[in-house]
Amino acid sequence: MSAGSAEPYEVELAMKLDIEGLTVEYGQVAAVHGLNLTVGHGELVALVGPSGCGKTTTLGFITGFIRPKAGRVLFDGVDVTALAPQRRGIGYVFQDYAIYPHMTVRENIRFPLDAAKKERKQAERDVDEIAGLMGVGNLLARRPHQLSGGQRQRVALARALVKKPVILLLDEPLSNLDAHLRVEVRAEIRRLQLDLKMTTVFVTHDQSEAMAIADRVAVMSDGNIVALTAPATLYTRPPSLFSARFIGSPQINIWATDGPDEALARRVIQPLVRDGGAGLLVGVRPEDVEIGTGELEAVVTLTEPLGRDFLVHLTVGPSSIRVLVPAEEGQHLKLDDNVRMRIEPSRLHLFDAATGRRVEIDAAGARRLDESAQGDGGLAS
Amino acid sequence: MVRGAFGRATPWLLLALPLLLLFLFLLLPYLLTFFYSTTGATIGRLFNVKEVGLKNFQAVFSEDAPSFISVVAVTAIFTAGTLFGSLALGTGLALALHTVSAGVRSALLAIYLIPWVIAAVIIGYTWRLIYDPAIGLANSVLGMVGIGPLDWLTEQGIALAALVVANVWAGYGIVLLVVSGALANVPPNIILAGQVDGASYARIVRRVILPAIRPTFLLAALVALVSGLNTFDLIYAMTRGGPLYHTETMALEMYRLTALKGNVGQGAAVTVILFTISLALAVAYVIIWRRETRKWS
Amino acid sequence: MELVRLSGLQRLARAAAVGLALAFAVLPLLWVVSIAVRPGTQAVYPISILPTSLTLDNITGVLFASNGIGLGPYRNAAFYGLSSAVITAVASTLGGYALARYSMRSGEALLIVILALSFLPSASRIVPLFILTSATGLYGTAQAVILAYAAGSIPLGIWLMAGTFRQIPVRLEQAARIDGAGTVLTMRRVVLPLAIPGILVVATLAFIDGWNSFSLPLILIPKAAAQPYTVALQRYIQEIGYGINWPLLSAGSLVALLPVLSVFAILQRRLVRVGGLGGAIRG
Repeated sequence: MSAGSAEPYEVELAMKLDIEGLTVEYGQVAAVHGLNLTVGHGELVALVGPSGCGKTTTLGFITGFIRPKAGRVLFDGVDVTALAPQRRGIGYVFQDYAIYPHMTVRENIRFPLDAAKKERKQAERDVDEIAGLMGVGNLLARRPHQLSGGQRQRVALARALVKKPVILLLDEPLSNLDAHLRVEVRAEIRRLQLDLKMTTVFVTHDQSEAMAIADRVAVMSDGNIVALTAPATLYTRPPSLFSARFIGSPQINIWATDGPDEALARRVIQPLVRDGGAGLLVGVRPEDVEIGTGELEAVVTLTEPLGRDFLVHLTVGPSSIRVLVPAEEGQHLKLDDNVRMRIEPSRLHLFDAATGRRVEIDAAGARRLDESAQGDGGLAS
Repeated sequence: MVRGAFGRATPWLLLALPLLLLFLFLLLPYLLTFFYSTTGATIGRLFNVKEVGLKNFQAVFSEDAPSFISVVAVTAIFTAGTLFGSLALGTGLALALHTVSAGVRSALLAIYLIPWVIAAVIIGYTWRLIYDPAIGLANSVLGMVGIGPLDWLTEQGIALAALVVANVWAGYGIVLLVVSGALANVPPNIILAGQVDGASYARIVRRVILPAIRPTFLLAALVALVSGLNTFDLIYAMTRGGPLYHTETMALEMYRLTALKGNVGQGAAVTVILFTISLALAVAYVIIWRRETRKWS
Repeated sequence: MELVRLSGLQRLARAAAVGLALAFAVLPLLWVVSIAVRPGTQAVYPISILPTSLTLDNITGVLFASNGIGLGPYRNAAFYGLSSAVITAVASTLGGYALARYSMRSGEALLIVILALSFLPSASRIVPLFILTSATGLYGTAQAVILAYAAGSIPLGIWLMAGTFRQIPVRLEQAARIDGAGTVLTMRRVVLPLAIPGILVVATLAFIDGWNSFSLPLILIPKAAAQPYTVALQRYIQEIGYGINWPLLSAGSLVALLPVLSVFAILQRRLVRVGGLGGAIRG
């Protein structure tokens, strides 16, 4: 933190968050099995995963609303597992904002300060300040029902930040906004979080949102984190089959080296592996396939214009493949056209079919499991 | 999900006061009544009572002025009349109001619901006035069309029917209220879809709307049924069971046996019978209702 | 927008039905008013539909004259009704919150028992309550009447309050906790303000129930000075010979109607929105 900064809301209180061995049994909430997570000072970690994967359970544990079967939560190394929610000093933005409908915007934002028995004049000054920072200073006299979705969102953020929380939790904060507003607010939240150096956990089911906003992305599946890395790495070197499939749109192509896709799968990995490649899953992202040259012959079954690109569906023998091609090439492709295509071996992602873990091939052509990744059950998941 | 201040005991601490009140002043009196129905208790002698087994029930059944058969018959006719009258009027009005705009509907509803908030005993006085042979509105209206004055409440054949009309006036409001609430929750799209499919309004009501509100309709029917069975204030205010016990229902009978005859044991016996019938209906309703709602979910 | 497009004939039938029902709903009451505001000499056979002169003598007579019942019986009814309303509101709020917010294994069974109890009208309670109060020495006391009223109103009250609390998102409570509020502050500043409409409805219904009650005080209160107007008005009815002082009885009834009708006029939208039982009877 830069010394002498004039930023009044620089949150020096931001704490490091540790979750250790969180286990919640299935009941009213999604189950979590032995989850560990550390979020550093001022870091933003996005928890991303399909519904029911345990994201919200994890947040509920951090806030103290969910009692785990096992596990601890530590703020700056201090165990707060037994602390009641109201004593944890967390800032939280709910998916539906949970703005108190019977209070004005000012009363809403001031509520945490009232609860802390802060002196009234100082509290009002703090409200004015944070409201100005969030751009809702002109709305303070309004009632929640008079606000637009975007305005409510800012009020909710202001209420979460006004007490200078030690940790900020955002539960799908963008999902109730219109698509165009979402990108804008996402950037604003990130800028604010960087400015305030808030330790932040951002929950979303939208992988692109997670990638865009986070320092690190934690991909959750079936009650555990299956990948936890920087967004770029997650995309270019997905540590597991699940995260490879979950991150990236259109979805990655996956073929098994055993089964109906055997011929295609074994052919594309031939330059890489020496042992024939049994028990592997081969993945390639749609944008990593070249069309027009190469020795693979494919037939066009469908073209979908997406704007800048075309998504072209092809078949190679019994196997199908999705390829992104630039619009100027894609528009010339027609149904049942025969095309040539080629896949650069370095662009391939290999996974162990049994565990779903990423497999690296060394220079000698031998397999090596990626130790940084946890397995997620291979094809079964 | 929410942690209570006292952990698991919190809900029971919150429920302590209401449950205590319900136990002392709702449940316990009924339990006592079951006990007293097998004793020879009288108004003057409520303690050290003699156990008489089922003698009170035998006495009630063999009473001859009025005969128990007659009491049961009067109760059944009065209840059935009230039930069908309130259901028909309440549901019919709710359906009619369902087709008008919301503003008009709520204004009309407010007027129609006025009888619902009036004391049953005042309703009794009101209708007794309407039926008064000398200054009643009923005879005035009849007089206008040349039909001679009737003794509404003292003529044996008419009194019970006159009571039913008054009780329908007292009871259609709750049916209207409950059914209107249910109609407001019928998705408008299934009604619009019915019209697009070319069905007549009568057909839409029969095939789309009524099935959709069935559980609520059953609830309204049960409320009307049980309140008909237990009507006391209105009959007491209008006829006190007369003329010659022709409007004496079980509710009046248990009052007469207890308070006027002083035979607490026999009054308790009638109460037990009425309570059992009412409770059976309530339980039957809960069972039907749960089956219906399961069908819909 | 109208939901259904009706033919001209159907509209005519609807108007006729609605109009007839309107006459059925209000004419009896108008007749009471018409008898109450005309001089006693005009309340004789043959009766004119409209009074030819108006007077407040009957109303002042009921309230203040020597042959009136006085203000006392109305005050008694108000006292019993208001006390019952307060107790019902408190008990129903507590119970409704418990049933709405905590999933107890026996909670659903409890709700069903409460629902079944709420179906038992007051008439079937006269004998049991007479026995109970006589056996415990509460016979004739105000506490007995008030608690008996409240016990009759609490089942529906709990149902309505459970419905009210279910409509208040748990998230608002969680938000208050996260904002640092303890139990008391969360209840006082967030939950109860949002539950006020429901509490008002429950209290109003309980007041109306108590104010209107007849059979319970008839059997539980022997002392004339403590009786509510419902019982006191009986003095205008002589069963022998069916002599009834209609001008005074009508005036007394009219006075009794005013409080309930004004409360109803103020709260009718809310009462209707609660949908009677409909809103509460779910899940």
